Amino acid sequence: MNGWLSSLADGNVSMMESPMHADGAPSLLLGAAVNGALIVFAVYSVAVILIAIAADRFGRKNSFLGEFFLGSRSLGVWAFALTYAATSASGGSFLGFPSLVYTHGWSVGLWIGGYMIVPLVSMGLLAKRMNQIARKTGAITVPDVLRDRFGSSSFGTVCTLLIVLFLSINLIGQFKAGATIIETLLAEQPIYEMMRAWVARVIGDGLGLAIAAREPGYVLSLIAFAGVVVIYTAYGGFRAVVWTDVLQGLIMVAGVALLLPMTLWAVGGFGAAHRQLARMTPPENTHLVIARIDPGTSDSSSSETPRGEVEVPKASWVILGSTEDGDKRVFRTKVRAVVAVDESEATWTVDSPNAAPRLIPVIEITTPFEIEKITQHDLHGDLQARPATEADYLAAELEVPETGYAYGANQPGVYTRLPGPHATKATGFLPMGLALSFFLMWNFSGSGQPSNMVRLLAFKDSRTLQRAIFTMAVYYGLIYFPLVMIFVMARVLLPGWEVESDRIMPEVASHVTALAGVPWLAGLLLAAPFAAVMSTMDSFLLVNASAITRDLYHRNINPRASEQRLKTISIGSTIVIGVVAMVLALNPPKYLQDLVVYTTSGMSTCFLAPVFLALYWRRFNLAGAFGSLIGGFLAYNVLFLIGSAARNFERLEPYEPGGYHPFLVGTVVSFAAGWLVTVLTPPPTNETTQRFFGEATEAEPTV
Amino acid sequence: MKLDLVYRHARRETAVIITLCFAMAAWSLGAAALMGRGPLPAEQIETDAVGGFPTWVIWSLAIPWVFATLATGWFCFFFLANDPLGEEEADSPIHSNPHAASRSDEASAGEMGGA
Repeated sequence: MNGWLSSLADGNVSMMESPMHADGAPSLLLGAAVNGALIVFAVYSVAVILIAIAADRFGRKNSFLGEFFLGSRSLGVWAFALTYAATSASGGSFLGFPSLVYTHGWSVGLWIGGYMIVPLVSMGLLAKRMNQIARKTGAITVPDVLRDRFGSSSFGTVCTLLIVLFLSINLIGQFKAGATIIETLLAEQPIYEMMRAWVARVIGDGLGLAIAAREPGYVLSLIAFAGVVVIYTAYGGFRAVVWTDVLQGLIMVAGVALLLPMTLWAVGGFGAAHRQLARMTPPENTHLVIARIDPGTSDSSSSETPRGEVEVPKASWVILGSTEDGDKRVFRTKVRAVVAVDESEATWTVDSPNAAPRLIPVIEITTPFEIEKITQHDLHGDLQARPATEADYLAAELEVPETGYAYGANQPGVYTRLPGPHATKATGFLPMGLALSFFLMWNFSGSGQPSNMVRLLAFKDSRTLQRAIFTMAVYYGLIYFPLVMIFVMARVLLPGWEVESDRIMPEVASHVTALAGVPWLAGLLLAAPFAAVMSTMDSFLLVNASAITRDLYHRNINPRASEQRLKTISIGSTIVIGVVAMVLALNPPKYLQDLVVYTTSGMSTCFLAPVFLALYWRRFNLAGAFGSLIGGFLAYNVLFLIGSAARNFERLEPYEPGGYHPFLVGTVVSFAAGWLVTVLTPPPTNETTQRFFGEATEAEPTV
Repeated sequence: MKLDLVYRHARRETAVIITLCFAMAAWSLGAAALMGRGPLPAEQIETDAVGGFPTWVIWSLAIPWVFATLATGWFCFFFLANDPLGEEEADSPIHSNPHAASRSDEASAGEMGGA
């Protein structure tokens, strides 16, 4: 034990569970919020399936293939704008992004700042030409466009296979994210817990899958979430996806519009929030040993220390020090720990061979006014004195010296300044080189995503494009900047959530609605993350199904397939891909999150330059297209190979030359390779150039 | 060869889009680098704000964001040409599957086997 610990008055621990686990009035309010989440999910699931049925009936009069994969190229302003926006906003927008803002403060505003111009760049850059060429060639997928532009089925097939590879990996990640969100939001709700127990029994009876055995709640959530998405996507196709995207897009903006004023009210105004935020310093990391108090030394009112199992839930508060001298230290547990029957010390399930089970990882709060707030049990304003719990029989001691943030430790104002605090990076969260990298990446990687590109094939006319770009610009302004404001204020409202920062969105929703006396509204706010994940999953699912049905089967294997056969294959492939991804998500690869990041920007790196050059450069030819595709792919993968090798392949991480993201480096290489190979090889035929770049016979346009 | 009107317009519009993107990056990141980097003197930590926003956030995020939205509006309604994007070709899958009425599933299955 560290010597100085003995100077603490007694080492007794005052423990307060996380609000979600609490007893008493506040937890009742929070419980109502969680019930609300379950109801919202149920209502929401029924609504999207009804939308799919309506979409199917609406589109029956149209040709199946064009309708199922492209909505018959008839999207109007709202549908086009909101499906594009909702597809771009994934679960990360409402869970990962708030977590980043909470952890790093205002610097995350600059990190996402590129979104101020994303609608213009990501839609405007390619939309008009993509749509025009798709009409000329009858293309309904991105590989369709490329195949016809270069007159090469082999190039179309390579593009298709790349899309299927990247999107399949990404789809597993989206399924996992969706299940995790459901699990997070519905945990502890009685009906959900009852079903979870049932799933645990079924799994125990022999359906055993490794992860399932550990996490029946995850399995239940995955089946529910993925099931709904697969059903409505397979039934209603593109139009159902777009219509549900519109609903999902409206839910997202409504969630933000409700959350912002409620959070402002809860925190006492933005000026007050800033003054508190400016005084905050980041927490420190350390470990505690938590043990039973020997009989006879306990301050507890009980005369006897229980010998049964005692649980210390994740995110429990631990307060060390005496009340009298005011020298209190406040910690929060990062993991769930248990004092087993007849054991004296709490242990946790370690996540690495080097971790010691008896050392419970915690953060220590370092900001004086936060310590005061927590020790006075004033986290919720109306929080009353808590009833005695098992914690009264526990004692804690600090056994490992605390470690401050690599950037920002003991530095008031760090949450309001750049580069923002960071636990492990001495350069802080966002050095300026990285800020530039993200600004450009958000803009140009959005343009290069096949799931976004396919929407550019679907809008009705130029007037729709004009209005949709502006609609999306306003929409993003209403979503992203307010989200930064909300979760900067969340730091002030709810300290200590660094231990589980992905939960900050549901916690804030529960907290502010409880304070406002409308806890049922939390359920409505929590529909936003459901919506965000679903709208991304359905699009990825459909792009994958279109790649198999249209690009591989219809154009390569059986160009004369009947409409009925295409329908069977389309619906069948959507279901099969969804089910396979769901099964794989039961046992996701170890570094799935790394893989998702890798595939997301990897697709853009491969496709942005070939598509852009195909649309705008007359001289660009098939060899150049292959050069561009392969150049981008190789550059991107080499950077990941170097970065991962430097970490002994323990993680999939890129090498970032000069601090620039591999997407930017890969895209530059892709453009350069496309140009070089093109100028070294013969130009396309005059017929091709005339077809794609020659004057059309349409009337003069009006501005 | 006379160039297609949509192509010519799209090329001009793309140049403006890319210029706007880099201009906004320069403004936002430039203001952030000048006004937002590094710790402030203790007496300015709480006061360096406008309406609760850190000063650098106003100049590098809030105002540029509003400007970018207005610029997007200008681009959409006063610069982006309302070009006709053309008609679908007769055999486009958007119109119909030309084989839908004439061919049975059995026939297609035969073709598939021979493919």
